Amino acid sequence: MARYPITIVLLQGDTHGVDFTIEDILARQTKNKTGSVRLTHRKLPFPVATKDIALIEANTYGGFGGDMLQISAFIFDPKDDAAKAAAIDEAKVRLREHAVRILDFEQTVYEREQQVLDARKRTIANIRRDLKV
Amino acid sequence: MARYLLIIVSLNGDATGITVRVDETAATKEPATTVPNFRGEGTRKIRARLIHPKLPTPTYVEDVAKLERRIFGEFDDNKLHLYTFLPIRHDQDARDIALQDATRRLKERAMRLLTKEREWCADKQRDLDTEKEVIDNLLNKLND
Repeated sequence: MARYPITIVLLQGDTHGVDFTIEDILARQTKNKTGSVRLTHRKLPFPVATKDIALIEANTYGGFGGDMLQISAFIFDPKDDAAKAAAIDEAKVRLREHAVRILDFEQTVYEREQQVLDARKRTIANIRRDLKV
Repeated sequence: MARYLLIIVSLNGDATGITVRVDETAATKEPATTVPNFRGEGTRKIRARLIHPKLPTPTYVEDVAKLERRIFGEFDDNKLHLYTFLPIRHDQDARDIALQDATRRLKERAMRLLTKEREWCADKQRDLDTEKEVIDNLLNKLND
């Protein structure tokens, strides 16, 4: 059973602010009956076939829930320190862009809900006024 | 098959206001029927029922008095729709008094429902304000 090095860059946001966390982990590398190689680790979004690594690397994972934004990107097997630093910087940019997209969407949802609530308040006020007449 | 007249008083509320509507609507009275009991001996009686789209089913004729005291409907989808039922009265004075009383009860119920709705809106507004604060805070921090 081999070990596979992965670096996670995690953007964590709560009411106090946003932080990047960089974490080096090892994923377990196993071969299944068909001979394909899979990586498993609790921080990986799902067991990853090694042929899908490029896909995983290109994506960001996670989302906004409650008052917490938590998204992560995975960097597999950086060749050297310089390559790793460059990959982390690139991941940070992608995570920041992804976070802004998520928050823009949340803002749209919020505005829609506020409009619905305002309409409901107006209706209640209208009916109360008419009932008192 | 007899017809049984009911007066429906309804309050329709939307953003344009509220109206009190009085409909005299015929409900169909199904006569009491008798059917054999489970042993096939003798019969049992099924009570006469009133059938109308606005009536809760099944409504038996002897329950009409109970219907008079009940209010149906709720605040839903930005509309308030409440109604109650009154057996028709041919005496104009009795009819007016019954209508006034029903309208008063409907308005009281409407006010109680609206108070609850306002409380719900206040809770929802607090949730939305918190959500907005979190989004703004995170966007500001990301743009720093």
